[in-house]
Amino acid sequence: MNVRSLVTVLLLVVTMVLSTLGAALAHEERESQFPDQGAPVPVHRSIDEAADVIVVCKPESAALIDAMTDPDLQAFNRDLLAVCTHEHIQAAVDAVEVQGTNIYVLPGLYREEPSVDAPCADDYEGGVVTYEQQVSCGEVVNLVTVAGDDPADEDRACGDAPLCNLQIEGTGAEPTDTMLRGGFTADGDWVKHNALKADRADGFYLRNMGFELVRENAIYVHETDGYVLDRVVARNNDLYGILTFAADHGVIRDCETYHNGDSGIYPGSPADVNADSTETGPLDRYAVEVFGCDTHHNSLGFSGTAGNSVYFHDNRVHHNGAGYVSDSFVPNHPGMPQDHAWLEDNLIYANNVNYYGNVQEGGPCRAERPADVGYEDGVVCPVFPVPVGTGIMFAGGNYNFVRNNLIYDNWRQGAMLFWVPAAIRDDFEGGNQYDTSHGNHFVDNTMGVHPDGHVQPNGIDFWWDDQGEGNCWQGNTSTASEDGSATSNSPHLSPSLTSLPDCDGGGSVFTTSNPVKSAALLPCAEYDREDNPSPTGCDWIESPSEPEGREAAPSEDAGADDGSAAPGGEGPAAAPAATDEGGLPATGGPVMLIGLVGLALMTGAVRLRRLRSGTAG
Amino acid sequence: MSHMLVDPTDTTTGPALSGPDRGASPVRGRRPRRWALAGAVAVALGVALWLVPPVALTQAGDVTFDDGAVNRTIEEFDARGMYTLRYVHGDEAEVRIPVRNDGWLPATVTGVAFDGRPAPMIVPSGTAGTPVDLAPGETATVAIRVRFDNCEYYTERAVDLYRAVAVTTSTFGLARTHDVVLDHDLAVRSAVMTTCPDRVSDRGAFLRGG
Repeated sequence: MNVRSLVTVLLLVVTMVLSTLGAALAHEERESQFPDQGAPVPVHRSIDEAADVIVVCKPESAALIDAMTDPDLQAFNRDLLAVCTHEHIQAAVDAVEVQGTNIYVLPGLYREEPSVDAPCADDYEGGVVTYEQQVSCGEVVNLVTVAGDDPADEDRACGDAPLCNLQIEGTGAEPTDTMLRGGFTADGDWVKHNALKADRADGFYLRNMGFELVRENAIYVHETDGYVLDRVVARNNDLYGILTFAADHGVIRDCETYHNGDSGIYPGSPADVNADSTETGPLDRYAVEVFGCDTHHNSLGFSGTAGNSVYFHDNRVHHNGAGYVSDSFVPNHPGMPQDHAWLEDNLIYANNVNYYGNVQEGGPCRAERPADVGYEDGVVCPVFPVPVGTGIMFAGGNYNFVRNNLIYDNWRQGAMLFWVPAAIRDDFEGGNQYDTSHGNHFVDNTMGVHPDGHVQPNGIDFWWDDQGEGNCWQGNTSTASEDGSATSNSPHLSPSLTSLPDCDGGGSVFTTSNPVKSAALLPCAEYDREDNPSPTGCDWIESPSEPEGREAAPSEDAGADDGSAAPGGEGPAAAPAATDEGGLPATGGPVMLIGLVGLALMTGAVRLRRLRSGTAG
Repeated sequence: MSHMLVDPTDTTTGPALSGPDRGASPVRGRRPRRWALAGAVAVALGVALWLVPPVALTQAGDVTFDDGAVNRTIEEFDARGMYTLRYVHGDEAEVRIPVRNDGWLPATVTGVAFDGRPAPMIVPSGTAGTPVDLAPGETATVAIRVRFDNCEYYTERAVDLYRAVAVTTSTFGLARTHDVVLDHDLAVRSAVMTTCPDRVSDRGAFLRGG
């Protein structure tokens, strides 16, 4: 085989691989709009600052408090136990009379039995739930509903309603000491779609609790202006761990999400506050800030259809099928097309876990009843196709800013950027078809090195379909090339491009997508977990091979930190969590520290490599 | 026997009888060449028939739609490009495919259809433009009328993809079905819950295969 033939074959292979692109995720919801109240991000309130206090406890709370090792925390809990008035969280929410109330939830397992058996939910058949229904009978889909706005008024603002500025806080030493669990009915179906939903509940603050085992979303914030999700765990759900939709002024911090069939964290359609800006970033205003989170062993670590103005920093995204994904795929998402995410100082690595074996014939996800799948044991049933082995994917996005991240050991590609025509999101206007994949910058990222300095290359560092104007790559280093520069598909596939465009030169000049490289998502878009789990022509769901030269890092624990599937093989039915229940960082500090240490070590490793190869540093 | 009829000393028979290639009569000498020629012609004909079947249908121009169908053709997207058609639950549309007879026998196009997949998002409700006679080299446009349905069987992100249509012909009474591969995939993307009246949040509630 001569070189030309080899290149041709490689082109075909790459094209086939890319043809599987597709997916990142979305969800079904009523027509929604961005809030416009201009509410601030709420601040955590101490018990002394609360306008009122309501305490919820379980019969087992007393014993759990007795077992506490922190005397101050134990004393605080004992004081609260003495004034406990409710056994169910929803009952406490319903009892709120004034804004600024703190609800304390003492350690225990909360199942919300009255919500499960709510008579008002008997006639629900699974369709769209209006806001009025959320208010009158949120139990149709939620274990706990916090619906702030009065549906009788014309606006969507919380206004003077008592449930504005509500704070719900678990009082255990760890988030999972206070668990809200869905689970299954006697006939094996899911009990609810959502564990907790805050709907038009401006100023909502949720802290230090765990959520698990629901059909859709463990924590759901919708059309809310001002919210914080602080130190929460969301795991073992069929779709999302944390989902926000059409919300603004949000913070998601110090969370852990794992074993979710769609993504761990999903800020979908955050307020499009930079829609008119043609600056890439950093900018002054973002709709949601996500930091200090550890998202792992999900189908996707992070996703966001129309994931606009997301500031995502100091997080760990690892051992998912794919890492950070945002897209412009789905109709009826306000704020299309996606724009202005800012990713900085994250560790994005080892997103190679292939869960697609779980949905094939004989796999655990084929069980007839949800109760028999094994969700509680960590079985992940991927809802959508993702490019297994991808660190970051922008599937139709603009002005995204990716700087100073550690991106390594993603066996298909480190970061991926491609165009999605507007018709895919049901926008058939002729002038809109090429409105994505412009102004995206990838700068100063370190590719292919474990924080301890071991070489762990990405399959390739950057993949681009050549589409769009003003896209650029600059200052990225990599262990995958002799000269320490990042690798990409461009030098090999585009005769007109010998390297990725840099930022100093203004980035790319507009061209349409390279048909050879065109990310043909169509074959994979036929994926359906139940009806078509192996669509023809979709190799996206196959595991990529381990890159050459990968070194195992001593810190890798095969039992706890390596849920990746064997090359070409099937993924695990249930990959282990990277941290146990007690492993949640109290703040973003540890993650940030790991990142900084990693950057320092990596910079040294790259310099050492350059010195060895005789190149100038 | 023959050598008894020929006197080897008789020079009148001359060189026609001399030499190894002259041992057969002139008649015998031409017959193998004719057979070889006939054989070659037969083989060539067979190859030609194999290469150019009696009736061969191919797409002969862009797929088009009726005026009421919202659609767009995007040639640069995907390795094959795509025709996209907006799903409007309960509405109907007409998918028009120009086909040409690249064979050497005439044919009558008697029908056109998509494959028989379960619960498609475009459900065939009739055809137009058939029957139509197609002489070799001729082109005609045939159409499939479809109804948008079954969105409840798809997720909000799913795409129903069609790469070919099945065209049936009749030639001298012999019926045949041809897979006419489209130049671009025809993609119908799923509706979302708010525009799909039968959709529910339980993704396993409806299985296409029943």
